[in-house]
Amino acid sequence: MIKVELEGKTKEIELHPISKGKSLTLKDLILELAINLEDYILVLNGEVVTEFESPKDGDSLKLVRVWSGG
Amino acid sequence: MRYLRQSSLVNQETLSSSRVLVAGMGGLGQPAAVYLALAGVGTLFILDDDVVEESNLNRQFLFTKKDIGKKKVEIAAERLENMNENVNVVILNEMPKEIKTDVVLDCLDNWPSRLKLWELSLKKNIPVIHGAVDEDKGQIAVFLNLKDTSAFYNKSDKACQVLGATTGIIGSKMALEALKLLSGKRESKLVVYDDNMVEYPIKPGRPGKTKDFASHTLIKLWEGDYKLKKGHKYLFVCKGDGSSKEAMEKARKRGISADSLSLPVAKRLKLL
Repeated sequence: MIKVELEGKTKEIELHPISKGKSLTLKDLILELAINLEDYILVLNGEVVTEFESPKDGDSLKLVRVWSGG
Repeated sequence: MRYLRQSSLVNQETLSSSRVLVAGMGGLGQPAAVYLALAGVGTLFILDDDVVEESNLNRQFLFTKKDIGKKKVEIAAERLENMNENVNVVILNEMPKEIKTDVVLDCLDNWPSRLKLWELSLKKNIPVIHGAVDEDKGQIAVFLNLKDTSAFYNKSDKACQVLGATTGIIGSKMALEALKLLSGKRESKLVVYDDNMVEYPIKPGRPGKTKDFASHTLIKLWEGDYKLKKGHKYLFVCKGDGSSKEAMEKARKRGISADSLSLPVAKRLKLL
């Protein structure tokens, strides 16, 4: 299970390999949740990471909205 | 006397010989440039190609209604020099081909320009402080090398509403982070402002930015991660299913000069 926090709401999601021999990445997880990755920065266990990281059971993922105005 | 109240916080001699680029002289760039000028940065390069518009006046406090239609950098330079005559303000009307400063502040308002600025600066090992806002929220990031930026690619621009008080907070924090860097405190991080300020360390990402090309992966590598043939910028990851030759040919026709590598090898080298 991974804890996912988005816009102040938290939910727990079961982790599963997407195919034999290939581990799930955060990108796969975000796609599964139908979230637009263009709008967020991923913070895994308190550290900013790319979507290519592979989460493991017990991890905590926070999606931090990213802004573009200046 | 001017710097008495900051004398134990910064090395004034270092600060007065430092060179800082503030890219964007809008809502973020102005508070950042003002506080850097007041702190006594030696040379302040200010970059913007825009003229003052009435809609800027809710947040861009260096300008008045009389400045509408005038070049932003020219007005800003005059006001900054009036604030501290010791600061040398240099005007840039367009993105320079090469950057030679100690720190770069990204106060721009769109991702394509930002990414160009980050690459120009970080390839020369010049740290970048990025800032952005929307409504009453914002973020600041400190990048020390290109790998720190990996999590910030492929983000989208959206038209936003913004309050001057928000750009004031984020721009001021950017100036503070620049002063820390100039004092030797080097730390890559993301700071998120959403009523509170929360800091997160940045884990350096994969070695390059990737895009899908003809159902293959094309990696534009950061320098030094994988030795490419001279003149080549990309690495083409081959699936080994026979489709790679055709995809490589397509890439070549598009002018993409790429080296190729098989998928297992790319994974072993942690390029994917």
